[in-house]
Amino acid sequence: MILAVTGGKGGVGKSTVAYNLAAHLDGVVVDGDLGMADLPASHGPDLHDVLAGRADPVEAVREDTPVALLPCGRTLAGARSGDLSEFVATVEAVERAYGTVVVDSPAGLRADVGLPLYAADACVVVTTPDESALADAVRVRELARELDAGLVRVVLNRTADDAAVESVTELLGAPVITVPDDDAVAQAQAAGQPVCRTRSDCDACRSFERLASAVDRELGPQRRVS
Amino acid sequence: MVTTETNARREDGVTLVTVRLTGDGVARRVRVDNRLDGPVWPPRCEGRPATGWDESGYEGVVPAEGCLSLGYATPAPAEGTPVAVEPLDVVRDGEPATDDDSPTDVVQRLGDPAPPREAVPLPEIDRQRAGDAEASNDDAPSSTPTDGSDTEGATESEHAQPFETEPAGDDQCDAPGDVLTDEWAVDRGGADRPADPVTAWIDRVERRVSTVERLDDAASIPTMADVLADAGGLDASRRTVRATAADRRRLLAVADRARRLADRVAASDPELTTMERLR
Repeated sequence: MILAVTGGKGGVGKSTVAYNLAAHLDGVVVDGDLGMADLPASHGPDLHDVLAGRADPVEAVREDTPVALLPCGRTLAGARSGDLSEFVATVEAVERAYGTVVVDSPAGLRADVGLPLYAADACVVVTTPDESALADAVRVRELARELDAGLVRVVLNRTADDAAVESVTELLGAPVITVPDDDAVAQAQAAGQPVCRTRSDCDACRSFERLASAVDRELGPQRRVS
Repeated sequence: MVTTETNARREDGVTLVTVRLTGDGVARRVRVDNRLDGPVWPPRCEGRPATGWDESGYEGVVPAEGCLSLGYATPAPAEGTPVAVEPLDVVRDGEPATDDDSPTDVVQRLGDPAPPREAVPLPEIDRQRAGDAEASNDDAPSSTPTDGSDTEGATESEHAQPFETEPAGDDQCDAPGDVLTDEWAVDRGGADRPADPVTAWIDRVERRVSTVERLDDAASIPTMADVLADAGGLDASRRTVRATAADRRRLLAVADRARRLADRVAASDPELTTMERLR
């Protein structure tokens, strides 16, 4: 199963959701933000190398990180050097080897957002309650429809305000899971850990668990164990 | 019968080929293969070959009533008939003229997000060379011949050359010897440097050959289905097989040129120690 975590707007918490969701699903998270990677960096080959044909997709997956990760390079030259259209074959190769892939998509609506949706069986849209974030979430949701990536859940991030849930559910046409603003998440992320490893009793961790259960329920048959 | 008109003219060291195909009353898929002795430089959209183009030519549909006009460039001389046109199947009403979206279509539709070339900083070694070149140009009259040779090829545009080797220009690098200088060849190897065009070309050819070999080896129907899926479907497999035919021609040409160069190296043994006495 390939799941794209997307959202349109930057800074809404896509990487955090992708990383924590991959931890709960025991999958590989692919840092698809070719120009502004923000999942933990590591030595060795990365997505830039894979897209440039310098490394094999599966060999570039790091298993010594808290969550198995295909990291992305952090240089502009690297972001220019690869063939973006190889992205789909790359995540499919990782899926064949590992079973479950969660792609952390970048902001925007260009091809680096479209290709994860093209490759994905389904997507999770992350947004905050801000108007601008919701507008971008609607746009990326439309793109997901065009590219046949069904929307499993909307993550309404950094809020515990249930009042917004109903309107967002109606706006985006999918069930909403809220993730409260919790320092534990930021601290875990800063330490390169999913929050379930550092504070499994916090509300945010329970939200990620509910999200993973929803994905499992709806896409379970498509999940393959490596 | 599809009517074909072709034209090839040479401009600034590049041959520009135009092809006009006129329909014969039914919409027909055709294959147009380059026959000139060089790579196809196809029209591009968002840095990728436009829909229908691959490394050896074009595949698309000539409308029943009307014509299909194509154009591409190649470094090969304009000698002989530039293309061979092969009529394929008839496209029935309602049948899509092109395949479903491919990753390349997605890139072309949504736009390549790669940072602009101007935004990419020069690696340290290039900045140093650019600086050297600038300094050398400033005091050119007093430069020694040695200085001149050190900065040869170090103009700004040529320093930018390695950054023109991203996929957007890959096809244009299919005549590797025209692009890569020895200077760059020995400078490469950093993890963040773009792959050199020769290696990138050989790697692409190798991937295509491996795909064709897997297609050839597939003996059972389930294996064939898996291999076809991996290769991107039947149409993509056809394109790959055709591309490898063009690859073979180019590989043989490169091998021939490499052999001749190697022979010239073997035949040359300049007496530099004697020349040193002339200084």
